[in-house]
Amino acid sequence: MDYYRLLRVENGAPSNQIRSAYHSARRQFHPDSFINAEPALRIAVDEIAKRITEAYMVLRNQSRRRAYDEALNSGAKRFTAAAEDAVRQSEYAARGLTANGRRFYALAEDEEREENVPAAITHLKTALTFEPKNAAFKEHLETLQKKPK
Amino acid sequence: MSKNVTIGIDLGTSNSCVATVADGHPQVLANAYGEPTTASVVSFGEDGSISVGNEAKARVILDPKHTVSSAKRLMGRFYFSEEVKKARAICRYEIASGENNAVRIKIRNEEFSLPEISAFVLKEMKAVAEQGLGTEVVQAVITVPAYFNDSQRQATKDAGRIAGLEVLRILNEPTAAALAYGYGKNLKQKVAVYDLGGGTFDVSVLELGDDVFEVLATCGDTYLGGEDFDDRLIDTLADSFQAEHDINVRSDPFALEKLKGAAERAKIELSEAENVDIEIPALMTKDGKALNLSYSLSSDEYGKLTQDLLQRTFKVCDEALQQSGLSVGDLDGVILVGGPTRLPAIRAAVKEYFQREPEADINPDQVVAMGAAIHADSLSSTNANTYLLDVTPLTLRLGIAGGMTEPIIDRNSPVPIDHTRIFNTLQDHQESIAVRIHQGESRAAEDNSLLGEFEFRGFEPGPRGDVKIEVTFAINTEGIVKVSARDPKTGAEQSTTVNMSSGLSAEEIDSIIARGRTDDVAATGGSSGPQSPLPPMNGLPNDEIMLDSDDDIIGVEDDVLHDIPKIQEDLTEPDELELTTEADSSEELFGKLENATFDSSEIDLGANAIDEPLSDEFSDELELDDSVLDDLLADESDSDAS
Repeated sequence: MDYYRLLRVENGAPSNQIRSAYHSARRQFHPDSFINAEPALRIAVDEIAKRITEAYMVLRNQSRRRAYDEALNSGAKRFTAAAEDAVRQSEYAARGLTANGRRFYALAEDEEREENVPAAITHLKTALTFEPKNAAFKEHLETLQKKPK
Repeated sequence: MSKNVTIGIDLGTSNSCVATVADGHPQVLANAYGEPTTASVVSFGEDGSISVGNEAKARVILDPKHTVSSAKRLMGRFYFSEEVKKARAICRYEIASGENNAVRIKIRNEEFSLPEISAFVLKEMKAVAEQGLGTEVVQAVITVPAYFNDSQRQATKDAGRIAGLEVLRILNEPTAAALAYGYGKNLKQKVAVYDLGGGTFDVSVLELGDDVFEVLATCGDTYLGGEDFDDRLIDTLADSFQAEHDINVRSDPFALEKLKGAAERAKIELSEAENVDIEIPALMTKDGKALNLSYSLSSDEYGKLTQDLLQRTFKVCDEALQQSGLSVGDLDGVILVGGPTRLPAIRAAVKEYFQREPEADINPDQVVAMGAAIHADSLSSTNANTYLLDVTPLTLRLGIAGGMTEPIIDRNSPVPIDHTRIFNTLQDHQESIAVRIHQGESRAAEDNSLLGEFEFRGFEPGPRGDVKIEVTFAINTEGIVKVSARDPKTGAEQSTTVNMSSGLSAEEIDSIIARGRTDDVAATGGSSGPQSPLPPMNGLPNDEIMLDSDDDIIGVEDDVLHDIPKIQEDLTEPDELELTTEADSSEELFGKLENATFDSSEIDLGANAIDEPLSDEFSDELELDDSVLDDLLADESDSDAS
């Protein structure tokens, strides 16, 4: 059973529909409701509840959902560990592929959190000298440069 | 079937509270002194008597070596942890190291585990409830700080069992508070729960939608609590006394306890008044002369003293909001939990941070117990009307080569959840792997708490990189962790419920219950109530419960019940576990995904390295991390250049 069928939504369902479908699925298969049920039933419900969470975790995240939709077309029903690794790797890459790139990107993020935009820009530019092709860095820099200082 | 009476217990660092639901309304049960909360203090008398609560609290000064307070701070911790080191410096009772580096409290010649100490408090709360209700109580929901890790949750559950309770659920404190706040109101709101307890700080962001209470994010700091705020005041008073009289209060334990008491009273008075005059006559004597302490404290000054601690709580709030994808402006309410939040200085700072007045008609000392009671009632009733969707507060990680970890389940993932990832062996013909389970937010293994480890054997050895091991982490609705490792080729599997670290084994708990050591407790609080030996545990081990009627399944529609076997079957369709059964597409897809995975050096499991120091070879492996990624980059530039 694929995630869309499990949550009872259409494949292209918008995220708000997925969220409310997740809520009603969790309501129906909540382990709390089965606390006194026989073990076999409790285990079954637990498995279903875990899979509902899994479905929601994948479908609520854009890059995971995209990867899942692709895998679904190739016949997979579940988001695989390997696909998860791929998504994590691309997320990881977005934070820098070299040690120095990561270091300065992290510094830029720290400054941004402190709302110190000019310092964040400086650090991002430094990060870009180590990874001139990093699209995620460039995009982030553009966003920062549009921010009021 | 007559409905069981159930209770909710807020097992606090400083104070505990018990509540029940009567006629659909949660109500707190007062102790024999008429007080809604009872001190979480246990004192062991010379004659073997054990007192709990306020009487025990008085003995903190009289008999500090045999009186245990703030035990919750030590729950589920290793002896060598920072927190235990800190406690050893402060606590007057003896903290010893037990088996597997567990913490033991040594009283005279007897050693107690932390769950045993907490069991004394839980037993007292059970007695308070039984006294108030006039009936025996067995089933309870016990709350824990949301930021508690697996070991701390297990230890709390063990404490409940030792106290003779059937623990229906371990529930997160902020979630309980939100439940009490939103119960029966059909709210559609986003709320933050700011929970500053005696020893821990938690913040949870929830979305309440009719009957669904969904935790969006939980963050916290188990090293920060009201007692740290108290310490600031104690230090100020001691410093001022020293400046005036040139004598250090800290050198006299008896005087220091007096000072602590005065500081606590002053803090409580500050909840009502702008200014407090602290007077301790004859705090110490010097050259035969009694020295008095007198200090005038204003609410403002208290605010300044504790400003950096408050800022630390707001950093945690920032994190929780960021994790939930919300900003302060999106919130519809702020709920304050924990005694320290009564302080105007704290309330004012919280109001400023959240830009709104916190909910006024919530009792910060009682709301958690009330929420726990509501949940206990809901779990034992046949028409559940609230559904809690909670999250796991900390990232679950697998230890890999080079002292590093790989996240398996991210923090703030909804529970229950399980997740499987595939790992390679590090060395050729490796025969076993160490599966180490960590919880925390750092990639470096040593910065996280180690929940447990086991050695996985029985897979087919092969060249490094060729052997694939599936590791599955599962977290149930209580936040309790189970880990298994499996060789997809041979199907060999091994699993563990993580409770080995500093908790007690099932056998140890049974033997404690059999010894009945916690039965010694003379229910203090004056309750001469039911002291008869407990009947055998009411709740049979769950596995043995067989029900032939659907009545015991709470509020589940028939068609849902009907669907369950079918859905379960559908979930285990064979093609799901492997990528796909069709040879061609499988080949293609597998190849693609394989290339896309981390370089194996990223996720190789350490070779059978349980107690071995890491060799240089391992460090070299780690170095690959950057160089491989650099290569990736180089490839990218090459292709651009051409």
